[in-house]
Amino acid sequence: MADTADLGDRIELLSMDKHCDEISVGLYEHPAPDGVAEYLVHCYSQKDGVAARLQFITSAMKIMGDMKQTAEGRLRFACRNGHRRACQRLFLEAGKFATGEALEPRSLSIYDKKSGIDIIVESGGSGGYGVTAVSDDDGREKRFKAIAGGLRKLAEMAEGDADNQAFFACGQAHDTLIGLLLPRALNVRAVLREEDAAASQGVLSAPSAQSV
Amino acid sequence: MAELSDIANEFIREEIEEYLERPEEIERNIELFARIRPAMQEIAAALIEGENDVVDRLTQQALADGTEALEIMDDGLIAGMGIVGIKFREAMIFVPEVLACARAMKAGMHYIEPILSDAGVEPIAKVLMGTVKGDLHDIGKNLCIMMLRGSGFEVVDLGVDTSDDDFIDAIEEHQPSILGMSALLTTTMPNMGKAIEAFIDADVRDDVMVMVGGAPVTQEFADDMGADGYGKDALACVELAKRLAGVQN
Amino acid sequence: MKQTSPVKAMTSRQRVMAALKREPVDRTPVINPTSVATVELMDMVDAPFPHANRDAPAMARLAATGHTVLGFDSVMPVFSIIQESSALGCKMQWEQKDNWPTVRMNEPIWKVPDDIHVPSDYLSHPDIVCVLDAIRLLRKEFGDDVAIIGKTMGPWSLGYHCFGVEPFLLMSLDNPGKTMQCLERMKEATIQFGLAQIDAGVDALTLPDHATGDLVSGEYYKRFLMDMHSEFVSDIPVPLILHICGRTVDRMDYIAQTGMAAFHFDSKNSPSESAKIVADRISLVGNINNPETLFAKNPEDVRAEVIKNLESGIQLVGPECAIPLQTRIENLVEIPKAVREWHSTHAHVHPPSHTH
Repeated sequence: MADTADLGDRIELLSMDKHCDEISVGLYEHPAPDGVAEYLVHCYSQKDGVAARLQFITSAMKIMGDMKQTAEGRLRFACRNGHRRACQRLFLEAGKFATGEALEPRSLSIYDKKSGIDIIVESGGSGGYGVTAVSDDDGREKRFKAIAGGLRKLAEMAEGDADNQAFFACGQAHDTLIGLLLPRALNVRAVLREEDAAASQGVLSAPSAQSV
Repeated sequence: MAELSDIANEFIREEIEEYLERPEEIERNIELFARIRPAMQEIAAALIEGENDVVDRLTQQALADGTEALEIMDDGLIAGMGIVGIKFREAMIFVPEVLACARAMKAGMHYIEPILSDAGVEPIAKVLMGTVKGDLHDIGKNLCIMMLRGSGFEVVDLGVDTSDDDFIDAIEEHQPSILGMSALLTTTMPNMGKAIEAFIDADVRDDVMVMVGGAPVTQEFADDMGADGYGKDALACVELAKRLAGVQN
Repeated sequence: MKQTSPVKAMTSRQRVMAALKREPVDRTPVINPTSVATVELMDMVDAPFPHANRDAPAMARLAATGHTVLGFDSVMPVFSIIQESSALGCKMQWEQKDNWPTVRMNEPIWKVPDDIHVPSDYLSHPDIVCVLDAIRLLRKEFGDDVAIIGKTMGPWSLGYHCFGVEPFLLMSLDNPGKTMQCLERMKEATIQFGLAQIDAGVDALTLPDHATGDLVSGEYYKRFLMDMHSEFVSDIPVPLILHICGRTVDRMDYIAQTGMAAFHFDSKNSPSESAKIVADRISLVGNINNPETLFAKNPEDVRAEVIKNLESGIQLVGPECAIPLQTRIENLVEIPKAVREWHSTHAHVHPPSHTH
């Protein structure tokens, strides 16, 4: 029987990895002896290329999310906080890169098509970030609020005193993670749409409840 | 106060006596049918029995006799559907019977709808109606739509398995006052909350009043997910829509 | 519960066959009358959907994981519910690895009884042959040790697939006689496929017939299906496990009278209420919740539901229906684990009985 005990709890699944023969890659969470949540990228397939693919996804999570890899091959954040939701998103984003694709941390500024301006996210210390813009034009507050809301949703961050703020509970900076999440925060509805579509895959309905 | 014996149609009297249990519903239906003319009671009775050919014939007959389309709709079709809704809710009839009643309603509406549209009556408000993502049941939704239209609302039907994007695109395109979501499965109910969340993310939540309904939905659930109103059946849906439209005005 | 002397250790197959007859067992068997395939199991044996629904070696490899990986006492290779409809000529949507194949019911192939036709080469259709060959491979692999459960769709379900759900339901109301005629003709497909699977080597057959509680009443079951299901017991000579989704307590008494070996009921029905109604006239297979428990919760929650079934005297334990393809393996292995551990602290409790 498969040894599942050592893997931990599967908290996320990429059910069909289009960059590696549609393998199903899981993200597992397991507390380390020191109590810190650690994560493992794993797949049951033994096909050629799978090991390299898992290694690439793991590296991508390190680079794009500033995670550290332990001797046992698991990942953790240096702040010792789990940041599970953000890690799930980081894993799914890492799975979108083809093996071998060049990776580097993303910038904290991005062009926002919806408002037509360059959005920047400024670190305010103590794990806090504020969404603002390069230009001084009025009337963008609604957009900053929406984007900050997107970041909070994607990384389970807390609200701040102002609408355009988001705070990590650990009180530490995670610029790399914010850079990864920022493009998704611009249209968080698309993210949630993807998650919903993924979650509803593979549920067999009785004939009377099928959609075709 | 009206009594059961004031209702001319024997079948309707028997339906009320045999199938209605809640005192307020018994009283309301006795008052209603006691007021309704016998010819309309006959249409209601045929609809309750799912006899679409009879409803078709009687509707045409009534129109030829000079009865107003609105009276036929309200007192014949909708009144009959009210009894059907109660019986279905109480599991005294099931989907096959409801499908037959809906078919009968459609047979009558075939003649009524064109007349109401031609009358150029200004709709009370515009309503979008859809069954949520993953849910393919539309009987309740279709009943609500028929009753809403009969009550003077303009309704856009988004169909079943409506995704959040479909709802949002429709809000942006049609600019309704009210959006109605239905769910028949407990597994799809959470999608109502997700849809409302999507409306917030897309910045359209404030543009529309959201009402929800469907067999497993409750007031508590509707409140938890941030809906503006909950309708426990098709009749309540119409009352709720009128109230929400009034709020808008 | 009744205390008896201990039963000596049985093979998985012996255990399942005894429980289907409500005879003494060494412990409650864990079975899958419906699919326990998951994307992770597909990866383990390189047998992804849709390939595993259409290729016999892949189908057998994936089905085998139910026993070799999950520890169930049975294997069941017919993951989906579309083989018969495909062979009858329905339009199919085969989907991909992480989704189920489906029949395009909005493009029905039949409208009236005279349209119904079971082709003379029905059993030679590739999707039928795939199942039969997979059963033979599994029998070869497991010998007499593990129970092999096949599946053949009942005529009501075939009616939905071939006529479309709403048209079929409206016909049942408009013309019950015509509906019965349709069922009589369609049952030929059920029987033929069932017999072919017996020849191939199955020990039992799941018979899904979706007269479900959300759509039709218990009286409908009695009127249209009860007698036909009773006939299946003699027409298809292996233990039959009837499967109907949804709330079914209002028809369990009728089902218990059919003579079928078992009824596979879902989580909308409580194990204790179900057991009380059938009163030992039929074995029960229940009823671990799929969308909430197996898919979304943890092994401890799975364990709690298993125990509820065991304490109610349910004869066989398993998921309530085909599990979501993304279900975690750790939740599935918890089912036989929980059963073994419960029995280790509840020795000499077999078989469960409600007539005492």
